[in-house]
Amino acid sequence: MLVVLLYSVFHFIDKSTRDEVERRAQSIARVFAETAADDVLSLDLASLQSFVDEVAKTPGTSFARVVDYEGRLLAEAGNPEHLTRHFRRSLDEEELPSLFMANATIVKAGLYYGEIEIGLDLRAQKQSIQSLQRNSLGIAAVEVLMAALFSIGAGYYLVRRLTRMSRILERINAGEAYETINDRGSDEVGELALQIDLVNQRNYWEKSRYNERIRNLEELNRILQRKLAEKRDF
Amino acid sequence: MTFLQGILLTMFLTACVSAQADSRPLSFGIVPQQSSSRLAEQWTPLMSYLSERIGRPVRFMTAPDIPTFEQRVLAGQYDIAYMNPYHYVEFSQVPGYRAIAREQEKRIRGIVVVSETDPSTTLADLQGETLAFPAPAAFAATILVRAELKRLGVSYTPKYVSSHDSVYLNVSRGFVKAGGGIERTYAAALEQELENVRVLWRSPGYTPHAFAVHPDLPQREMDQIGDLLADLSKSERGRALLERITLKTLVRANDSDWNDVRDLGLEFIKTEQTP
Repeated sequence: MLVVLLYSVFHFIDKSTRDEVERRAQSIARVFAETAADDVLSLDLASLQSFVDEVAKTPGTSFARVVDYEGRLLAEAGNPEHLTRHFRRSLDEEELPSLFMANATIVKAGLYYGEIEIGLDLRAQKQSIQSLQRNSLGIAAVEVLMAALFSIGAGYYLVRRLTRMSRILERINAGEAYETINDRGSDEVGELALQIDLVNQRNYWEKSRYNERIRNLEELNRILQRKLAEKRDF
Repeated sequence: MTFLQGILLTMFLTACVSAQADSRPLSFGIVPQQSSSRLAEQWTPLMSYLSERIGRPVRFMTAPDIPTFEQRVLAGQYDIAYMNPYHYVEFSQVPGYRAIAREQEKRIRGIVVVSETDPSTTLADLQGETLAFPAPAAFAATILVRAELKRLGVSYTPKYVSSHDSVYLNVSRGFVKAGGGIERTYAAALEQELENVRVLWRSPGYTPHAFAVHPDLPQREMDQIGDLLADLSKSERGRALLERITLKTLVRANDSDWNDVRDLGLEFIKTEQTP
């Protein structure tokens, strides 16, 4: 059950993170495309380069690149290693990549003029998620261990009391001396032990009364026998 | 290889090169009077229309600012260009752009505005004053006004304040004695509750902006594009395209149509700023 619960939680975390990253990446790309549109349309390459330089410096952004309608590079900046990678949109991927790539097109009056490509560095986020998963697994393991230890402790405690009760009852049944369980627990087992002690006490009292009556009857019988013997002697 | 095979191979290669050249997109540069995005929204449908009709892609292009546009036109980067009259006069000489179309009826005019309480009655009264202009290369609001002041021998200090609205506000608040503008933006400013400004002088009307082609463009394509532009107002779709770029009926143009601008003698601008 715990495994199913953990799997569901991890799956939810993965999915919600991926959705959020996709949404954020597309929003960033769209905003960048809108901002860069004038520079792309007017081929203001100096301004465009300044713009992508600033974009690439944005925390979490690995690279930014602008290409025109023929795929010609207009400006790019960012992590040199990431810039050499072939651009491929990261949307709808099974697993969240460390480098998430998104793009947005620059379209005016229905005509494509170019696009902006961005790469988001998700290594920190992925490490956070993995750390979260590790911590969750650790907490779950400790929880399982604690539950097991508690069950063992509780079972031992309960079984020990029940065993004692059983032995005392066996001895009482065997007619041995009066004995009480005297369990001090306040739980159901303690209550049961108390009730057994009361029944046992009552039985002991009843038995004492019975023996006393027997003794009285025997005494009366002896007196009666003696009286009868005295009458016969007369 | 026989002589005949050589000729055939040469013809084949020539045809291939020619076909490749014909498929190259034609660049259509628009003078940057508004933001590039807005210009692209307005002009792209016309580019698509021309692409369909001439069977060759026509791409919208512009520049980040007027000086850059001038440099690009001067470098012959645009196959087709839409430029102001002064630009056309300049670039018809070098690199030799050829006019193909213009608006049929429109005449471009500049105005000079002063404060309503200002006693000036002629441009001569502006002698020695500071005058506001939107930008150095604004044809009607700056160049026409400055040309007239030069003709009258009025000396003044120009102050460039970025936009027509800014000119009117500077005049209205008394920061400058007078300023250059155009009727359309002045009327719009009045609608936006501009007060305390009146028109002191109106320039004569001049031939408006030019559609011109690069001198290397073949005559056949030049005529084809010129005819397509001139025929726009003859169809529903064409009229919609013209409306989108806020132009009225276009007609084929000749280089001599801009002689009125040439007659202004605008050499003084060359010494103060680009081009």
